Amino acid sequence: MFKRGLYFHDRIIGILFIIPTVGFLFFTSLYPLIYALVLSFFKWDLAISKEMKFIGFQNYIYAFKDKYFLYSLFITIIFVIITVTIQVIIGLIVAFLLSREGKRLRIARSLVLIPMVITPVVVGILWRMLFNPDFGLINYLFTVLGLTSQQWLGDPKIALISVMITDIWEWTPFVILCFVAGITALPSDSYEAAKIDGANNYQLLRHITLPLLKPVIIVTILLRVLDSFKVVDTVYVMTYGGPGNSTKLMSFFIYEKGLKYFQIGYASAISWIFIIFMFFFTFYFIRQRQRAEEY
Amino acid sequence: MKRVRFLKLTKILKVAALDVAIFAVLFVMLVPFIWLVLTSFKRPIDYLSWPPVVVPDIWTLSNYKMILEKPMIFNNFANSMIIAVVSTLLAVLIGSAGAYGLLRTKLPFKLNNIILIWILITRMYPAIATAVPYFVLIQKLGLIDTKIALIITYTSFSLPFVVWLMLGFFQGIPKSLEDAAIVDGCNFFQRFVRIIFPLSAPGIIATTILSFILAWNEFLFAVILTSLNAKTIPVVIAGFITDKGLEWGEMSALGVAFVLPVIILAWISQKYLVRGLTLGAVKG
Repeated sequence: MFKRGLYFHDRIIGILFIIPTVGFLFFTSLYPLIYALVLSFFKWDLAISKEMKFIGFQNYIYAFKDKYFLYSLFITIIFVIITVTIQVIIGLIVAFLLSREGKRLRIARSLVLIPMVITPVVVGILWRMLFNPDFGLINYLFTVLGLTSQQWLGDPKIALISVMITDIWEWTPFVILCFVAGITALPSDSYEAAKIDGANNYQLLRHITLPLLKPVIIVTILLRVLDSFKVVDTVYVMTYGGPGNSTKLMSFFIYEKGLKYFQIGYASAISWIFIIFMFFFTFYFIRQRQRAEEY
Repeated sequence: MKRVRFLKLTKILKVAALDVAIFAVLFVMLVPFIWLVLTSFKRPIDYLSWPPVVVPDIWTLSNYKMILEKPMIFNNFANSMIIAVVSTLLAVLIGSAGAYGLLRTKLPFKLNNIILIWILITRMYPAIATAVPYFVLIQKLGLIDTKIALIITYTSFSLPFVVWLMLGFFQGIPKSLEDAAIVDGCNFFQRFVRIIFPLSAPGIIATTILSFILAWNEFLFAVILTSLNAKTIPVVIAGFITDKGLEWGEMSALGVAFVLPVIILAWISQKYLVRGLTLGAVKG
């Protein structure tokens, strides 16, 4: 009798523990998502009129014909692929450098943290300063090295590269730390066995270290890919999407359509296209990871 | 003899090369930030000059002074602080409780798994996708330009990873401890407060710090949901750009002042921070 009372009591409290979490997420995640889906079937341009008109899938059809939307999607994909790839390559190399023991290396690892904890907005203005064509450090370095100075943020051909450089600087530390954690967690017995068999450093790296690191690498890539799709703070502060449309990454594009021009119906539709796109991307990666674990 | 010497030399060179490489990496990582700090102490003729002046002859505090004289600046700073602290507390408490509840309470219809997967999914799409309807919702509730709106927003941003991180920690605690507590007559709440929570201290520290940093640094929703009263510092910093542009000295000063607390916090707690950040990557 007593036991049953305790169990029941426990269950009620357990449910009470869960409710706030679910409640919050319902209010701020599920409900807006569903609301956005509904809105995507309407034409609602708040800047023009308060009226909402049901138009079915027309927003979606228009999106796929909208060259600005397609261009934004294109440069976003390029942005993600290039920045994540470079971050992973540099991150891996630096992680190997930093994952030994030693007080100085511990200090090095904590200094490396700095770029990623700085407010992205501050990162943006910092690099905007560095990229300034008239007094910026980057152009100065270029002239010292004998290269021509560039309009880093003013030239539509280069602006995206500048934003990518900023993003790489900002987030490589995260990749480095993930890999350091992965490297330090590697089991030492495989190494012992291989060394006894006479393997040299290169063979150790290729046949033991990298395969064992594969799960960590894939998860890190996944996390970085997901976050790279969301980049908007630095774009807002560095280029505001310009010059022209050359740095209008997807998150910024959606922001502009929905909260600057208030084309709410259309913004909701492209939001959902983007969400579905990211879901497929993510599931592809999870399948990749499962394959890696099978080794 | 010569061969031993040669080997020692190559070993020294290797170590030296390693040091140089690490130094180069740190250099690239830190120089931009150091540049920001230096700029904040420069006069306009120094930070606008070409060729660039690295270390100025005359240092100045006028940039910082001008920041302090900006109208509403203390209000904005207070907003950032209050919003970050409250949303962090809420996220950690609600998230930990939620994680424990989901772990130990069996819900019907496999709801446990559904909820956990849903929590995972919330990380998978960009927040901007919900920004528009969320904005409409907040507006209808009359919460535009209030601290509460941002507190709720940031709490929900941090909840998913608090739940996942703490879940991992809770699963690491042997069930026998809880069973012993049940035999002693502890109910759910008591078990959580007396046993689970204390044993998960590293996880709590990690999630607290990460939630704080997230809320402190957030910009997009701050700029969407606030205008005057609840404005946070990131919005102020971005506001420098659109105004008349380019008070680089003041911007740098405000930037340095704003990121300094986070850097100090991250430095002090870096062990937990790294653990928290990478727990997803290594075990995830």
